[in-house]
Amino acid sequence: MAARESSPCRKSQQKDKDGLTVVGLRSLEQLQNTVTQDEGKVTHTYLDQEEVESQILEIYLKCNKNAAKYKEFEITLQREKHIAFLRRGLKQLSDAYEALDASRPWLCYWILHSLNLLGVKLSKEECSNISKFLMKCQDPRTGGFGGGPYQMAHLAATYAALNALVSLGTDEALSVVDKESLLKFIISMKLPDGSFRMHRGGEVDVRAVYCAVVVAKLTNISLPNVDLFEGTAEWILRCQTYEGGFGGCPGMEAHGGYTFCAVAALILLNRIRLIDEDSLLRWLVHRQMAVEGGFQGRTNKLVDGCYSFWQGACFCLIGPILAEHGEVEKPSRWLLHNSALQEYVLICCQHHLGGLIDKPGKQRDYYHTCYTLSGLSAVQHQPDGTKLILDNASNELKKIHPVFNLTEESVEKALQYYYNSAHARATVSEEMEDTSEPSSV
Amino acid sequence: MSTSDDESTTPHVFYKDRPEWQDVQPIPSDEGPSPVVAIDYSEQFADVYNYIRGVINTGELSRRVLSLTCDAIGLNAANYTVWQLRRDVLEAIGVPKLIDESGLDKEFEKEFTFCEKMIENIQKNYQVWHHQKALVSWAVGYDESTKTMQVKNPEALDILFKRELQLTKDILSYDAKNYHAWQHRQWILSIFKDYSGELEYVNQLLTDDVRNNSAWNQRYFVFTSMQDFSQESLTEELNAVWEFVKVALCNESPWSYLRGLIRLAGDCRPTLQKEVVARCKPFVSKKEGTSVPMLGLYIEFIDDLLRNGEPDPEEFAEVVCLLEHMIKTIDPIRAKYWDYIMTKFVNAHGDSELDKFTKVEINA
Repeated sequence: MAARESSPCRKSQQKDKDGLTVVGLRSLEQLQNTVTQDEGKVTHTYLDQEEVESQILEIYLKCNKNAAKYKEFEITLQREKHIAFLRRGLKQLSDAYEALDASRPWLCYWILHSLNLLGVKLSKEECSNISKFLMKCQDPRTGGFGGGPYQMAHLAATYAALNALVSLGTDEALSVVDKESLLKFIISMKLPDGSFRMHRGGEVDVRAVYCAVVVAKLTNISLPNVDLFEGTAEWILRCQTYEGGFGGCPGMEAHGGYTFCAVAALILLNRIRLIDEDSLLRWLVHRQMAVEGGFQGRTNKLVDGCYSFWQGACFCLIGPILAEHGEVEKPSRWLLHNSALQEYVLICCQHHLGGLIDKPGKQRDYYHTCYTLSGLSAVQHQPDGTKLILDNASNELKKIHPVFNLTEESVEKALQYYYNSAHARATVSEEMEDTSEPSSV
Repeated sequence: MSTSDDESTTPHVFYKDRPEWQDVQPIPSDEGPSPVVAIDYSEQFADVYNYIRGVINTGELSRRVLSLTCDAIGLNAANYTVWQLRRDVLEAIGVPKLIDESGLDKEFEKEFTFCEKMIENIQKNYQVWHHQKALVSWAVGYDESTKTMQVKNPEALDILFKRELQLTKDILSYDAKNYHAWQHRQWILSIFKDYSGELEYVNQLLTDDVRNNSAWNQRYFVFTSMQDFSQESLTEELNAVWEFVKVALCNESPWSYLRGLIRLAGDCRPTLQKEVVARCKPFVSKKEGTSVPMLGLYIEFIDDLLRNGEPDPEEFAEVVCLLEHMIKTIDPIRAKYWDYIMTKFVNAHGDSELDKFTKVEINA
């Protein structure tokens, strides 16, 4: 029995010599058959779902009836508009962004990574300016980066700053990171149970753990003879819930963002084989919405474009272990409904002025632009190396590395820089060995 | 010196124009030669944060800094540096005190009220909830590493326990799925080690909205915290949950909960799985039985039972048929997944059926 890409579709699949397949929209019949039923029990959850679902169904109906017109707009990735929105934010943001004044490395990362996905190359001068700004966010006394200049170092801001620098990819950018103090910072955030705090006196959750693991692994910092992440994998595993996804800390509800952080961190720690992958997969596939095609973050919540990445990338992360555990052969396709997700992103998540959104009617922002595009990229590139693109080949994005959410090209450059070049010298580890007691870790 | 609460009610005067702040050198943000992601700050925002940087620079931890952090938090509650500065000030000026049977110390009470108001205003923000957690930790003398409290007086503890349950209940009344509120509530229940009233609360929420998955998660949290996993208690819970299952068969939450519940079982697991399979049968056999989560669990339990028991060609055929139905008709969005499950299922049971048959043939 062969699973279909999308059942009877408007347009037959076309495959070109680069292994690129263009797929069409799902059939109207399929959409209408799977709308949520109230089952005689109308509740808040049902009403919220019904409202969003019917709005989106209407959009799909219009789109299907008037395909030629919509092809020009909704189904085509509006590259130029998105690039203009991103470039503007890179320079200047209105005072509405004051709420993100403690997330400025995040703004850099969301914008730079989105531009990379769209294939935009920044000038040397632009790269240099951003590197210099991020340098201002680093605190060499404590190590790590803060949410802006003069702000206290924070693991999530550190992750975002590093990812922004790696997205830039220049030697100047990659050299901004002070590895020695960064190691001290990571050590100072660690708790005896293997988890991490976000900042001095800050909260503990799976995000902090993911950020700590990523920055250490990506920049190649470690302690000799001591496992910087002792107990960490065990702590993460306690966050897998009876539903199969992961919560922010043990006991909490399975959630897309935390699930991504947990799974990606376990991969970097080489402990992914310890998860219950069957229940994770079951939970993941059920987060894809039957009509909308996009993902929800939690059971019985609403679709949101950003989960295209948080949930979508998890398919890429667990694909290899499903094959390894062997009952089935290595799948050539991710186990989600690929074209349905691409439909949701392209038709429902593009703001008409540029930028991407949570769901129709919502404001655009850089967070959603980044993660909605990242999710699109994650599923366009198949495990067998081929590509699957909705509607037209021009919608293709650069391929991401699903663990870090950086383009593959950026990750290669960073690994080359931090592991294989002269900058990778293990000075950090050697010096730390002399100055710190392993028992203090 | 005014306290933080009074400060916010007075008309705003820029800090740079306040005589009592003349001794502090304000520090503008250092953006470097060519700013990027530059936010167009309002004049007030820039003024307040120039002084925040000023006091961080001098390391001042005083009452006036406490009121300054109040303004800074009001302008951006996500600024974790300011919240941490606030906690540093509170400690430095000795505000946190252990609770006793007459309640919180007066000044500490003000800090609780301030934080609760912030939570009320900005319900989905990591910093406000983390601050509340820090305040509770101080009030009971909670030690994270030993999981113990310094305060032992039950009356004193009860005041705070009830207050935190009420706070989270209030916030969950706006949004019954607020992740931060649930996380705080779980933490409170676990440090006070009292789950006695929680099932009642969960039942109330599930009666309001049986699709509230956060409430289901809380039910699991409570069940695993307080119950033994004997066949008796699991069966009792299965019966209670079944009442919610019947209300809306397509609701995924209770089906997942049942799966989780039965995973807790030891030797009695097959018995409970058979029980659920039997209860599903009448719905499955109906043509209109199109609940995807029900069929998913049904198939999974049959798969498990077949793996650990006798082959049953009839059940094998039924599962294959149901999977085809899901792939083609009722759940095409998950077609690839069900196809994958089909492959695993057929590999596990289809061949063995054949093997057994062949072996019998050979032996004969």
